[in-house]
Amino acid sequence: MTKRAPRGRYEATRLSVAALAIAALAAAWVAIAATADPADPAIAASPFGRQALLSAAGTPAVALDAAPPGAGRPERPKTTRTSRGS
Amino acid sequence: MSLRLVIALSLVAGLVLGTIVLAPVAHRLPSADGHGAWYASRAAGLVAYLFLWAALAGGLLMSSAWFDGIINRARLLAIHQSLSLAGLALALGHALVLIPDDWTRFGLLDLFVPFASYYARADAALGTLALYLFAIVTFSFWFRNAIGPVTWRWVHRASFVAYLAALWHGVRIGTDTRALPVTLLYLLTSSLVLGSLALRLTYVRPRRRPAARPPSRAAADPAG
Repeated sequence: MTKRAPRGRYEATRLSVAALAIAALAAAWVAIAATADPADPAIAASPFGRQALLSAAGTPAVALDAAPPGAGRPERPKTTRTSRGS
Repeated sequence: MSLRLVIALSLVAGLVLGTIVLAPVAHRLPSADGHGAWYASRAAGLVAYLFLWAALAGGLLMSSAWFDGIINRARLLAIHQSLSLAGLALALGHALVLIPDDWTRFGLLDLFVPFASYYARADAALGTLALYLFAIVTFSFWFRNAIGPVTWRWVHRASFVAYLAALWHGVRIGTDTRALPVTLLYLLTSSLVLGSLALRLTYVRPRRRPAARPPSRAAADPAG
């Protein structure tokens, strides 16, 4: 039978796990941000990267509709938010 | 393991990780090329996977009493719960941080309704389902008395399904899957889960010996 952790005890243990999670998240974020490069072939091979490259090359977003599923979504119309605000 | 040792180890691990990673690349931090949210989501996804794996493996080892005598059971339970909650928070963050991101353009429906994602529908859905399953398993602890130990145990077994779904989601559509450290991470963690599961399934809990009865007065003193 699993014993219940007494209420209010092991707070420092729980906080340590939370601190470890934050540290690990920060470390992973920095590692990814430092090594990632949108022009890198590995990143460009992902749909998001391909979408960015097509946008940069001036390819119309409509062309992406013809791509297989998962190849990226056409850009959202930006007018919705601005018209809501006016 | 004493409380001070746990705190010290956590701090040292955080410092070492931070120093190793931050030192050589700190100058690159300000420019994330506008993909900061996407990078944060990928990082959160990887760390969430790691924490949920640790929670699962810890739970397996705890239920087979392998840590008995090494670490206090109640403390191990506190660690197990905290890992689950932290992993769940990270997994939620992994999804939520994508909403304002202009790079990937996911909406609430894409992220939280299974099979509604515009991108890699089935693989993305497995991530959503894993999140929900892990949430149910994690929070079931606080409803154990209400649902009963048998149901609770079955709910807890669903964490294997959730783990497999999360692993599949990460391997299939994780951008970093092909990076060597991440490939190794997936291989190592899945092997350890299999190993822990094998240990758990083959573990035979030692039978408790009946408490020795004190000798009766007649037996102890036949003359009296």
